[in-house]
Amino acid sequence: MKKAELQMQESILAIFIVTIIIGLALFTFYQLQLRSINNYKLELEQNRDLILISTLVNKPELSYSYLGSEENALDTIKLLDNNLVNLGFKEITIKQVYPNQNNIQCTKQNYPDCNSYLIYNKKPSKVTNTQIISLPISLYFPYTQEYHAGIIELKSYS
Amino acid sequence: MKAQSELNWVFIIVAGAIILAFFTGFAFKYKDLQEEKLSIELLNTLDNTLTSFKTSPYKTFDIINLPTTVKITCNQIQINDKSYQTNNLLFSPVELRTKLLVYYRPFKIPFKVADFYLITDANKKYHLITDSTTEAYIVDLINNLPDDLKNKFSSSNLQKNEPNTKNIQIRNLNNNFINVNNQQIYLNGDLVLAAIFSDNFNCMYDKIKQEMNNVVKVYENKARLIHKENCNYNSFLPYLNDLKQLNFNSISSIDAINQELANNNCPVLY
Repeated sequence: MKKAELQMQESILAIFIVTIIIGLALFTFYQLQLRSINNYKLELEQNRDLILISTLVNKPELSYSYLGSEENALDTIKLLDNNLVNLGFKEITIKQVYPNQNNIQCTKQNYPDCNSYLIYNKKPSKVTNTQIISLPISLYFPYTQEYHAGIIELKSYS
Repeated sequence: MKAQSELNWVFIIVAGAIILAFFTGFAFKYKDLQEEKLSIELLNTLDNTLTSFKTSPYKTFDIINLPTTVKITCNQIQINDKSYQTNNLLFSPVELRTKLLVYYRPFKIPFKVADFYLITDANKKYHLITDSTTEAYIVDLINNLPDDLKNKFSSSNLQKNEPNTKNIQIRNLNNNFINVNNQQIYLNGDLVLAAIFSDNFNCMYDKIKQEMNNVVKVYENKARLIHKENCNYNSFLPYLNDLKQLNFNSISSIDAINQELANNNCPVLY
């Protein structure tokens, strides 16, 4: 009788330990899942930024059109004073890369003798991570009616 | 000895219940997590698909299969309990099932102001209740839609009581204005279609006004900044101001000034 009782207690202990091991395994699995979800979230944010930067050229606030038809270029005069809002914590800069120009940020006063345009800037109080994406673009100068080569750079803060 | 044995059984039952509760809890939590992940994936894919239409300068039609029911409100797309903020102008019924029919149209008055998404689902039908002033205009508007959308529309001067059919009153076309479901809007094909497709048109109309203000301000700034000998940009300003008040009668004047600038080899405004 005593031996049977001892065996029963041993069985209970074994089940208890096995349960704890399975529990720990599940906890680890759950933590890994959470980590993969966080990675996925990061991937989604990167995708969103990529889509944002690729569609900015088509935004009426920035794009150049000739008699109403889109010309797939950014209008540099519009870049001097635009109304971009609600893009989150980001910094968007456009730089002329060819022909080479003085490395000066453009304002209404120094345009067109400058080479970069800050079109959106909203920084969080504490930056933990910055992702940078850039794309080549075409810049249109209405005065000379010429196209120059440029890049658009998007810094995304988190 | 008997008491000891009973205590063991009580312990086994309590421990068993706790273990069972733990595993059941885990299973439910894991299911919720996976559902939430799926909803976010779907919402993100849907919003990205819609946004990528913006790269097209033309009207574009597409059909998207939906694995679940989607709810669209003025600013949000919602799947299950998960919602996703969108800046896209989605003119659609609140609830969409099975298949999304998406018709993308750049909204131009005369320059591009926004991107319109006219959305409906495979089961939805539209009956337009017209009068003598709007009948011809509506027939022409429907005939210019893609075939998959065209066959969802019918029109007459009477209401139609059929399931999944939305009745829309379109009356009193005069002086470039038209009345859609008791709302007076400017006679513009994109706006009229937007009012027909949307279940939240009042809220969407405010968003259009906001977009319009933003874009018109950009063109006002451009007209003030740009200067070249023999090119006059100041004449745009009063007409642009009219546009901000949603007075679209100035469109033809803006177009004429812009065309004149192009003829004089001046940089155009748009």
